[in-house]
Formats: sequence, structure tokens, C-alpha cells
Amino acid sequence: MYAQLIIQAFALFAPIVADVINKHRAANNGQMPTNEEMIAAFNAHVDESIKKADEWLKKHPGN
Amino acid sequence: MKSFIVRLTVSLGLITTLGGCAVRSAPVSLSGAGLAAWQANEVVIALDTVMNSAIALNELQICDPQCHSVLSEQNARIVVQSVRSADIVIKQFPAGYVMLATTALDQIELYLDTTGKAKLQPYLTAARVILTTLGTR
Repeated sequence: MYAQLIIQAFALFAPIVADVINKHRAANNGQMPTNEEMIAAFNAHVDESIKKADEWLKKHPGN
Repeated sequence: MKSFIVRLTVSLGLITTLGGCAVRSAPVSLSGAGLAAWQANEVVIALDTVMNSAIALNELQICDPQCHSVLSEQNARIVVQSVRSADIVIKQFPAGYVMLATTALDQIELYLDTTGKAKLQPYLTAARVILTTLGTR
């Protein structure tokens, strides 16, 4: 089961990375993202990751 | 076990190749801060994958015969706190993503115990591969 989890994580990761532009183009009539849009997307991803970390730490306060 | 190693190797190859493709396909519309955000974004996703894996492995229970998490809470906390700290600083300084992410991965490897290191090594290796690919662009 552990091995399967690792393989799934790797299999899922690559498409996520490669898909950022495709999603943007699909939602914007094929237009490439501007610098501002890319910076906004980056900030959103970072905030999401920080939020996830905070939620986990809140559930697992430690010593 | 042999089958697992083969599949893991194939997966690592896939992630490396696709990671590289993603970098090469960075839109020509991006420059300066936009390009830095694109590259930093990939690093954030790589670090996030390491964190998600640590969280998932902490939730996963195995019994041999006593039941326990595959990854201890202490090890999961090291990963979560390191990634969180890196995220906060990368958000402020996206152009410094190589140094910041490398520091986070070094810290994780330094503080994990032997068991935790063994469990998370494939994820850490994959994150470093992606970082190297972006850093040499």
C-alpha cells in the first residue's frame, strides 16, 4: 500500500505541473498568461500550501 | 519489491521528463517577475507534494503487529514546518526559490530520523530533480 501511495503521488504530480498553462489557455480563449496573471496564480498556490500546513499544525499541535 | 523499484524508477523518469517539459514550455509571454513566478510556482508545487506525501503517510496506519503511522507525527511536523517556512519566504522573494527550496529540503533531510528519511527519500529526490532542472535553465 505504501509503495502504491508513492507511485500515485508521482503519477499525479507531473500533470499538475504541466497543466497550469493549459488550464489558463482553455479559460482565456487560448491566450497565454500575462506576468500579472502568473504572479497571481503563484500567490494563490503559495497561500493554499501555507493554509494546508496551518490546518495540519492546528490539528497536530505537538509538545 | 523488484516490481516496485522498476515502477518507481519509471515514475521518477516520468516526473523528471515532464518536469523538464513543463519548464521548457514556460509561456513566451512571461518575462522578469512573471517568469520567476512561473519557476517558483513549480517549486512550490514540488514542495507541496513532499508535504502532502508526509501528511498522507502520517495518516496511513500499518500493523506489524502493533499499529502505527507509516510516518511518525514528529517527522511529518518537520516536513510541514519546513515547507511552510519556505513557502512564506518564497512568496516574498520568488526569484530566490532555488536557495530557499534547497534550504528547506536540506533541513528536512537533516532533521528527519532514519526511518522518516527512508520513507520520504523518493519524494525528496524528485523535488531536488525538479529544482535542479529549473535552476539550470
